Amino acid sequence: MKEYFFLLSSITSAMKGEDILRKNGFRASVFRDSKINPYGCGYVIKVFGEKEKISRILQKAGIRVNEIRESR
Amino acid sequence: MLYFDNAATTFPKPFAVRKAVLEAFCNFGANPGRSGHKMGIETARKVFECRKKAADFFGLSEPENLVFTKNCTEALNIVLMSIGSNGGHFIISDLEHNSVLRPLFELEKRGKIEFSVAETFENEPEKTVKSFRNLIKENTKMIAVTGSSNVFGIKLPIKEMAKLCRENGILFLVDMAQTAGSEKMDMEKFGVDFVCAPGHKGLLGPMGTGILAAKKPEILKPHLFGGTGSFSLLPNQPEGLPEMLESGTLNVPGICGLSAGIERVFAEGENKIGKREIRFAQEIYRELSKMENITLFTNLPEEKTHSAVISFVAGDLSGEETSEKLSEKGVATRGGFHCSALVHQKMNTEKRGTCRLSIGPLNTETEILKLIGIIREISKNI
Repeated sequence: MKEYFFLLSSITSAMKGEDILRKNGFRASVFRDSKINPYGCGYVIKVFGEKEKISRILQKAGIRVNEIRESR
Repeated sequence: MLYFDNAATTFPKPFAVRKAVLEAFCNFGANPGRSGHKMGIETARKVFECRKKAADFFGLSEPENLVFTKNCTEALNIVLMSIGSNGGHFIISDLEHNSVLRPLFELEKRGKIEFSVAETFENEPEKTVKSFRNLIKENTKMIAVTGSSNVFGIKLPIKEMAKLCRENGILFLVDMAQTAGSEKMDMEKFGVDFVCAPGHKGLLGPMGTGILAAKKPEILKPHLFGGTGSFSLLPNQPEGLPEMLESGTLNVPGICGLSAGIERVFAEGENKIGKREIRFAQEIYRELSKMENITLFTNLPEEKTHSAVISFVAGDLSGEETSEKLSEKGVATRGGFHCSALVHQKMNTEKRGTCRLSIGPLNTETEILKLIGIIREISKNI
C-alpha cells in the first residue's frame, strides 16, 4: 500500500474527494500546496491505497484530478 | 413583540443557529479555501458540510452545483443574467417579486431579451399552467416563477409547470424565497433546473446567506470576478462551480448558521412545518373574515394552493397604516407594496397596499391567539 497525492484545483473538489474516499474506507486528508500546481494555489488529497482504485472512485464522482504523485 | 414578518426574514432564529454562528467566530475564523493551515482546512470542511446538506435538501446530487450567495436576489440575478445575456424569450408569472421582474426588465431595456407575464389563477392550477402554455414561443428559453407569492401566499403548481417545461425543452427556475423550508423540493425528481432560495427565511439561517442550486451549471456565467483560492497565477476567472460564482471571501459564520438551520428543518421536515404554518394561517384567516372592518384579498389558505401569508387591511387604512397600528400594539408585520409591483396590480391593491402577516416555523398557538385578539381590538376601534 502506498501513499499518493492527488492534485486538484478546487477546494470543493478536494473536500468532495476526501469525503467520498473516506466513505469508501480510505485514509484521506486534504491539504493545500501552492507549489505543486503550475497555475498556483492547488489542493491535495493525501491518501493511502491503490492508485487505480482511488482514481476510479474520484473519476466516477466527477472529480477532475490534475496530477497524481507518489509520496517519497 | 409578536413577530409575524417571517416572509421578510424569520425571527427568532433557533438556539442551534445562534450557537453555530458563535462557534464559527470562535473556532472557524479562517478563510476557507485560501490558507493551508489547520483552521483554514477545518473551516473549508465546515463550508463543504453545509454545501452537501443544502444540496441534499433540494434534491441536487452534486454538492459543487450548490452555490452560496449573499441572498436569494443575487442567486436569481446570476441565473437570469447568465441565460438572458444570450437573448431569447422568458415567461414569468403575475405574482413575481421585483427580484425576478427587474433583472428581466433590465435585460429587455438593453435589447437582450423579451419577456411575457402569465396570468395565474388562485386555486386553479390547470388554468394557470394553460396560461403559461399559451405564451410559449419558438424562442422561449426559460420559465421563471416564484413558488408562492410573497404578498398573498398564492402558490404556483411547480410540479406541473416543470413538466410543461420539460415537454417544451424550456429551462425552469423556481424562486423559493417563500417556500424553502416549508415545502419539499426535489430538483432531480421534479425536473427543476434552477432553485434560488434565501438562507435566512424558512431555512432559519442568518441574513446575508442565499443559495443557488443548479442542475444545469454549464449555462451559468460569473457575475463577480476575483479571488477564488484557485488558479491564482492565471488572469482568467476559473471555470466550474462553485468557485466560478463565489469570488471573494465567503460568509462563513452565516453559512455555519445556515447549516444548523437546515439541520433543524430536516429534523422536523418541511411538510410538517408547512402544515403547521398553514393551520395557523387558516385560524387567523377564519377569525379575520368574521371581523367587521377587515378586508381580506384571497380565499382561505389551503396547503396545496397557499403558503402561510395573509394580506389584509383594516377599515379605510392603507396597508402601511394597518401595519403601523399593529406595530403600536407590539406586532411586527409588513405594510406597503412588498417589492412586488406585479401582484399588487393583479389584486388591485397598488394604491392602498396591504398589511402582510407571515407565519414562520417558530410561531406558536399562543401567539396566534394574541394576534387575533389585537386585530379584533383594532377592527373595533377604527
